[in-house]
Parts: sequence; structure tokens; C-alpha cells
Amino acid sequence: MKSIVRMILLIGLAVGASLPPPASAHTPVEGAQRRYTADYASLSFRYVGTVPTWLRTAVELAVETQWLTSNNSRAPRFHQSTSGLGSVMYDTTSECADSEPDWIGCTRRWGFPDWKVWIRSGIIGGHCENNNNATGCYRASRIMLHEAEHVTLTTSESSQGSANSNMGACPPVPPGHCKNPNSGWNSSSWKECDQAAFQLKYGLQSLSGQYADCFDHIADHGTTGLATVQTVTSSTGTTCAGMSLTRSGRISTKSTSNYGLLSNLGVAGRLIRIDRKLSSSSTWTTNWSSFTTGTNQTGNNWTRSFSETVGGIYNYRIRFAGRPVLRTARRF
Amino acid sequence: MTQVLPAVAGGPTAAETRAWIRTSPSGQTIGSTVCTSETPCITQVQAAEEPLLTLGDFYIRWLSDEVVVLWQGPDLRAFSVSDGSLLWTMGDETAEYDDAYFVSDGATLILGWLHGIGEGRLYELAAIDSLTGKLVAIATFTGDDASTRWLEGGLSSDDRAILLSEPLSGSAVRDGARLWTVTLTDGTVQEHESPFSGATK
Repeated sequence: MKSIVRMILLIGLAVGASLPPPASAHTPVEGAQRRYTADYASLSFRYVGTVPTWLRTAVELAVETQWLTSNNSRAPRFHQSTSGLGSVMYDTTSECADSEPDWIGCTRRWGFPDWKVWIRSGIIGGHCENNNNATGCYRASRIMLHEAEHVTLTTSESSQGSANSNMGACPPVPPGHCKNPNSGWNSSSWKECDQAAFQLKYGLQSLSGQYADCFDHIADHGTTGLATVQTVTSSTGTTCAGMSLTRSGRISTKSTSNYGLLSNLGVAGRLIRIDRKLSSSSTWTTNWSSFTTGTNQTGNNWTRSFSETVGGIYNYRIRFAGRPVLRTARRF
Repeated sequence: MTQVLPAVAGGPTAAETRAWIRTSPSGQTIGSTVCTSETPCITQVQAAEEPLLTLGDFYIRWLSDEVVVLWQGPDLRAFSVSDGSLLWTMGDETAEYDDAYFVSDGATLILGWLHGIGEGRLYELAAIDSLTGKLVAIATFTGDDASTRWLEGGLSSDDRAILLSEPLSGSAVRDGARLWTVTLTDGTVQEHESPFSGATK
């Protein structure tokens, strides 16, 4: 006669998986809106007026390359074309000049295909791409990254530091901020809180890709970031030694309107560790086994067979395995 | 010569300037925003026969003898010139303002602005009661028309607002730009044939 194995899968004890530990007051950039309806909206642009070559290079670097770095979202995509609908201009004046005398970049008609961005010419300190990164210069590509985010996401100038977002105001609040060598002057990609807002409003490009590291202060957050929830077909079962017992489940982000388009997403492609112990023991065998969640958005996204050769009552727990984004080890 | 708007500690320097000087339609009131490295941005308004008004707020955009309107980001804020009290505010995250102007008696601010999101985003020419902030739409433009209307307050009058299809660059306009007049009393919109060289209707 085979021994009896009773398995208890400890699922549902805790949620919260996530994002790295809380940092001081960083949050998805303020005032975020989905300004273009389509996923990956194609925003073409052309240069209007006299735009020097060095600036064209910087603009295209910013919105055609840097824009895609640290960008796991369905945010609009930019591309330069002589017949482009959007406009990039280089001028001493702009539609912002009357309201913001210290402007260095300016956006108007956001949300439309024929959006407009001005980059100010003749600014004190100049542009880094045109003066070999002279002290006090402004990097035009950083200005363009900032303005492109105004076009697609938010009007606000973020109050958080340049380590977390490119949307911190350049002058005049505070004066000189983001010019070389001040913090953020040479930003060359989205920051975490930029990406977080884009992910909330435009959704993820890849379910198994990166979640921004900037969700630990939003409403309904988990212990360290986005909260996750899980279900399992049955958390207990009995079988014979040497026989297997199969269980399926779903691990997803919490379903809440506060998560925008990140609500109730299958947590895909994440390595899940299984710890095991005899119920009579207080010591867990960590990393007893592992599996990777599937990529399906709906329904169960994991299936696992459990088998023991020696009879007894076993407890199992599953937890995230420490991937960079969904990393915090939490028991289920 | 008397300096009407007093100097501010720390500036302004060339890099941290006094913003544009604004005058009321009557020419009796003058105002400016000042930002310096030592003093957070403030707005000074000097009306005839009144003490200097200093607001810890910015940027000055439009001015009448009774009201000064400040603009930063998506918000407009109107203050009484006589005592600095906040009269009204408007705006939300969807707001984008073009231009505005006070009609000559200062009672009404004519504003061109965009608001709404997605397909519902529209351009609106509106009349705002300068003391209460009550807004009445004069004309609205939707769809592709919404992004190609720019109020030019400096070209407009008490009777008609001038809209261009693209913003002025300084005082210049590109050949081919289109022009509309909007009659403020009834919202009638009229496009003018080829007002600029190369324009097509």
C-alpha cells in the first residue's frame, strides 16, 4: 500500500508582491492623461523654419531612440518625416514666451496629430550638443524628451527630483535646474516615474516586461509596490506517494481603478519559487522548486504538479523569485 | 523719471528677468512678474492712485485696471488689483491657453483655449466676466479645426476676435496662414480669402 501524501499549498496568505521598497515621495508624474487614443499612436513630425543639423540630431535621438529606452508601454511613437504632421521649431520666441519668460522648451496642441514643440534659440548657456557640453549648457535632447512627454502625457512640471522623472521644471523653478552640471542635465531616457505614468495610462507593451519602479506610493499599493493577487484551483489535496497532484492558478496585479491599465494584469513570465516543509516542521526548505508564469492575460497563468515519494503532510508556499521588478519575496 | 515697478533683491539679471510688462487697456495700470535667484517669482501691479500690489504668484498674463490674470501650467488665477484678493480660477489638466485680451472697458476677458481630451477636445473662444470668472462660449471648434485656431489678442478688437491657423512667430506669420474673424456678439465665424500671400481657402 502506498503512503498517503497530503499537500497544503499555502496560497492566499499574503499578497503584495512588488516593486522595490518605498522611496521618498516619488510617484507617477502628476497630471498624467492618455492624450492619444491609439496604442502606439504614430506621431510624425517635421522641422519648421531653420533648425540646425545638431539640433535635428538631438531631437531625433531623443524621441526616436531615447524615448524607447526604459519604455515598456504603449505610449505614442515619434518619427521624423518631411511630411510630418507635428512640428519642431527652433526660435527665440514661442507660444510660451508670453506666459513663461524663462522658457527653454514649449509645447502646444498636445493631443493632436499636429502638435508643436519649440526649442528656444539663443539661451544663456547654450545647448550642450552645440557647445561641447560647456558648463551651464542645456541638453537639447533632454529638453525634447521633456516636451514630448508634455505632448503625450501631462501638462504638469513634476515636483519630484530628476532622478525619478524628466518632468521636473527647468528654469525658473528653481533657476538653473537641469543645466550642466546640475542633476538631470544629461538624462537620456525615461525615468521610472515617467514610465510609471505612461504604463498606467497607455498600458504595458509586454506583460513579462519591466514594471516601472515608481508605484509604491499610489493608492492601493502593496507592501513595496503594485499589489498582486492570486487564485488557485484548490489549495489542498491528498494523493498517494509517488503520484502527482496538479494545481493551477493565476497571479495578477490587483483589480482596482487606481491601477489604471495595470489593473488585473496577468503577471507574466515571472519566476516563482516554491518552498516546502513538513507540516510538523517549522523550517522551510526554500527554493525547493520553481516555475515560470505563463504569458496569457486572462485565466490561469500557471500550472504545477506536486509529487512526493514519502508519505506525510506537506506545506508549500510560492513567492516571487527576485526578478528586478516583481521582486519582493512574499509568501502566498 | 520714476521707476514705477520697484527693484527686487537679487535681480533681475539677464538670465532671471523681469517678465513682460503688461498694461491695462486704459494704460492706467502696469504690471510685471519678477523672478530672481534671491526672490521667488512675484508679480507687481501698479494702478493709478493705488498702492503697489505685490502678489507672491506668477506669471502675469493679462491686466485690466481692476483685474490681473496670472497663468502657470493649466491654471489661470485672477486677482483684484485693488486689494490682491483672489477673484476666480479656472483650468484643469486638459486646459491649454492660447491668448486672451481684455476688451477696452476691462469688464470682459476674451480667451482662446483648448480643453477636453481625445475626440472631445475642442477649441473655444470664450468671454469671461473679469470680476466673477463666469465663462460664456462664443464659438467652438472641434476635430481638425480645434488644433488650427489660434486667437491673436493683439490683432483683435472689442467687436471681433482674430483667429489664425497657426501662431505668430513674434509678429510674423507664415505665408499660407488662414485667418478668421469671430463676431463677439453672436459668434459668427468668417474665413477671409487669402489674407496672406499664398493662402488658399
